[in-house]
Amino acid sequence: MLLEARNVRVTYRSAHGPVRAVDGLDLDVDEAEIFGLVGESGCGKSTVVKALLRLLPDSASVEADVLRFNGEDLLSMPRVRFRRHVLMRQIALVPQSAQNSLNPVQPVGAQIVEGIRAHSNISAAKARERVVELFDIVGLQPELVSRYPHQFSGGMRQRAMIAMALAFEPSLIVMDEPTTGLDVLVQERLLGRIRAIRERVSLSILLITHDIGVVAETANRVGVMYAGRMVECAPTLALFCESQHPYTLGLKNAFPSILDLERELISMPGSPPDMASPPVGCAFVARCPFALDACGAARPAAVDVGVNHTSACIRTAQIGQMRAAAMRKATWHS
Amino acid sequence: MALLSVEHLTKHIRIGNGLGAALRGADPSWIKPVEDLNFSIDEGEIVGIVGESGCGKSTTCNLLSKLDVPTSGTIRLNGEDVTAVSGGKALTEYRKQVQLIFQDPFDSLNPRLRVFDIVAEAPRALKLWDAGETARRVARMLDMVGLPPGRYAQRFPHQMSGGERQRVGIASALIAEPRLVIADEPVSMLDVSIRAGVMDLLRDLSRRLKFSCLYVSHDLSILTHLCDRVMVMYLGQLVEVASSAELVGAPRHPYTLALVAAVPVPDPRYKREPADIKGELAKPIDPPPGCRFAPRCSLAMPQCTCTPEMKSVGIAHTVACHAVQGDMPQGAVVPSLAASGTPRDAARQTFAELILSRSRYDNPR
Amino acid sequence: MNTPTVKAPPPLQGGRLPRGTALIAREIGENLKVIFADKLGAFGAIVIAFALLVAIFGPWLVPHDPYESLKMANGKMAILQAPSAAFPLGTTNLARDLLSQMILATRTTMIIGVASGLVSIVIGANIGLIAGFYGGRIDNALMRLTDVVYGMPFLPFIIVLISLFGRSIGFVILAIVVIVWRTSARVIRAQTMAIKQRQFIAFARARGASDLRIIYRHIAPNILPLLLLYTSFNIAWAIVTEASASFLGFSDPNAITWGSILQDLWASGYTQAAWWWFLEPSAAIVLLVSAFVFVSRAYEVVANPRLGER
Repeated sequence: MLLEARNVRVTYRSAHGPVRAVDGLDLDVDEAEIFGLVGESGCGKSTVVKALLRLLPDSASVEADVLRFNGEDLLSMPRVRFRRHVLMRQIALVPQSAQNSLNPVQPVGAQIVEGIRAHSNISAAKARERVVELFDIVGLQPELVSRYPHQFSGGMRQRAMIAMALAFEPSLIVMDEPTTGLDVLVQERLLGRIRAIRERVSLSILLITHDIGVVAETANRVGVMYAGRMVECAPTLALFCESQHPYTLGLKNAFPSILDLERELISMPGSPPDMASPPVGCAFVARCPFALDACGAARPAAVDVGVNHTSACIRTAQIGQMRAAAMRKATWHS
Repeated sequence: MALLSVEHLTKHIRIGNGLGAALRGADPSWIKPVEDLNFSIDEGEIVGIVGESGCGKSTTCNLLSKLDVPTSGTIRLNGEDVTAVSGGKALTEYRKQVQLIFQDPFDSLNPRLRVFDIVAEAPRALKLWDAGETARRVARMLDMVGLPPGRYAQRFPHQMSGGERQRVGIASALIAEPRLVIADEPVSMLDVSIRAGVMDLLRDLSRRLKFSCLYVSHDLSILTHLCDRVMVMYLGQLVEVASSAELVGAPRHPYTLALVAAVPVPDPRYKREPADIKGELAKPIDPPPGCRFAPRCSLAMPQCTCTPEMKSVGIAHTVACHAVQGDMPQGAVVPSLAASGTPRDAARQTFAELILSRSRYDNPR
Repeated sequence: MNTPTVKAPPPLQGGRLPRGTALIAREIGENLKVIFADKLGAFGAIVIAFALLVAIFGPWLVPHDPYESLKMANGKMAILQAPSAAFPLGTTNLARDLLSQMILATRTTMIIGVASGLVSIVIGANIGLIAGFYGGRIDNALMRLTDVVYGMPFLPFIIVLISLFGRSIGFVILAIVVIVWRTSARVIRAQTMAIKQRQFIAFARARGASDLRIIYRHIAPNILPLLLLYTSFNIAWAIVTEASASFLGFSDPNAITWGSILQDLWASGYTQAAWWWFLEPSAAIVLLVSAFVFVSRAYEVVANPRLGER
């Protein structure tokens, strides 16, 4: 197991008091797999990875029972060692809106060279060679190295940021909403390129997105987050075809598919809970049509419901009836 | 008679050149976001426009809602030519009939105004009713969009979620009882689980209040769910118009084929063919004459430098493409190709067959 | 995009907005909250309030006629007396009571300062709003006008006015207004241009709002923090400018202002000897101007984050 995280908790200090952005999350990413982390905005998915990479401000407290990468314990690792050996070298991050974080007055290649040299002692000439190599991996023409960001399209800029992340051959790349804001054709091309990169350079990818269509076709395994917790985690096929959590069912209801125009889209009423006071029981209890009293009493543990498939719900035994009921609009809006 | 009809609608913007080009006496550049659009919207219809960034859909919204002025072409509302309407009484009358719902729920509401004032903006600006009547109608409208006035009327935008703000936007557009509502990607900035609710609201209200809707989006999945008919735009040109089912079931234009092929489907068993399209999306600056998709099209032919006509290829299904034969009998799936059986024709056939006959799965949950 | 934790205010009947006085009262209340949140702002507000009280009740508080040469208890003329029980702020070389002079001067200064400040902000704001909103030729014309005024130096301008029309407070106010409106016009124009691009302006236009309605109902409320900042600043500037003018003798000779008190001092030649005569008007000018600047600063804190508020 490349990345192991157990019971990750992240608390922010805000003007209104402490806010639990991540509330006891378990996460495993294996070698050479694409793991899709899915959830709505505010569920904590970006916070989790920033916590892993120690990119949160000091006012945020990060705790975990286990946080291991490649066998090494990340929790107790001194900051200097983390900066030099882990960040960018073993785990690289392509942040949200990465394509907008390029300096408009500097050629793209030069910016990546700067990025490389900031993290190592490589000579400028070697760094430039590496950039050409990286551009090749991400499918950008070598002459683009000296061009400016405005001469790149959105998809190309995103690929340039991925090139930067690949610079030190990390074992894990985290991509935060890489396709958001991109046109459909560009998105398709980028996802294809991501898959191709993974074939060529053996690494794992942690793909964070709110779009289940993207993970359906790209990820090997998917984890669904809600209110700072992992509610279901399974191989992609199992997650979609044998969903075992009401939130996953609700999520699928809300996504239109061009294959099934007749299906009625059903929205989930309500909104995520206020994380300034995290719910005692299941986080989804307020919006779940199948909630029992027991659901609000105690937090459900993640139970094994299949091969490599966990769901944090106490009613997984009735999942068959729940699936059937979830397809009817009246179940959610009565 | 159609509610709204648009003929040869065009928008060209001239941009100056840099000093060097000016000294050389070079011609000025033109941005041509919208080129020769022809379409109509009937009463009670929900029509969609789909396209990627730069396709001109936002410009079209602005032209139809009179936030922008067309360079040439005609806009007719209820048969009456309203192209030249740009101010005064005529514009007020126009705005009573045609309203706009905005994309960004966070920027489209005045942060200093309360919900009541935001929704009452149209009646006040258009001088529709007196204060008492306005208050009554605002309350009724807020109820209709699912925001009880007692709880919401006095709130400021920053005290509400994205979905709630968008409902306020919808209420403010519908309160004047327009006949046509133009919705510019109203749900794209909302959370996924909230989108369905807002889309449903729009559809319900369109039936209850009897207005037509022009829904513009880049998301084909949403459009085909919501709309009766969908129009596909590429770089300012209208390339295909069809019913939702036919657009995804039997797309004919190469761009539409690529678009439909590229839409992500939330079903991991569905293996789609990659979209057969090359190059990057261009900007509509000094575009080449003729079909603007030709530079990226694998079926491009010499005659593509001439803009193709919109041809009928089925019931209420039109395509603007030289590679597609018009007037197909109903139900025909693969276009019958020009005679000679050249490799290009074979490629066309394979291409079409590949996309049209890809396996589809029913979606058990 | 999560559920906000801010509670909505209690609903009013029929969802209607409170009109008139209730609205103004609410706005004032909110502004006071802003000012008092900042310590310096609070200090400034208190000083301004004090000056306002003195200005309003001045004529009733004045113990002596400011021009009367006074006698002390022992019958001698009260010339150049340091502050004492009889004359809390001391006297001048002509035995005039400085307390009376200071009180009346506060009144005059406040009137001139506030009047010039307010008039200049009204002019500057409107020019800025209209130039920023319309752009094009109107903007060019208005900005050329502003440029011309920028080029006008204050002293020569007031000298010309006085030479042509004689000395009067009116001309001082006019000269100050003419000079002071220009900065706020530029800044407000820039802000207007930025706000014009926001979606809620297109929203208002799509709903049928006329240009004037958009400017005053939609844009103006959003530049309010900036307006208040500049109002305060303009008043501060007006006070300093007025003091300079009257010190140099360009003001109405019959009006008593802090500048004129200093003028008297300087003309008398007793600058070194009569420290109280020097200290009082100088301190007053510094205090009041600082007070307005502090209040401006308190608004600056609001004006910036407010712009990015979501």
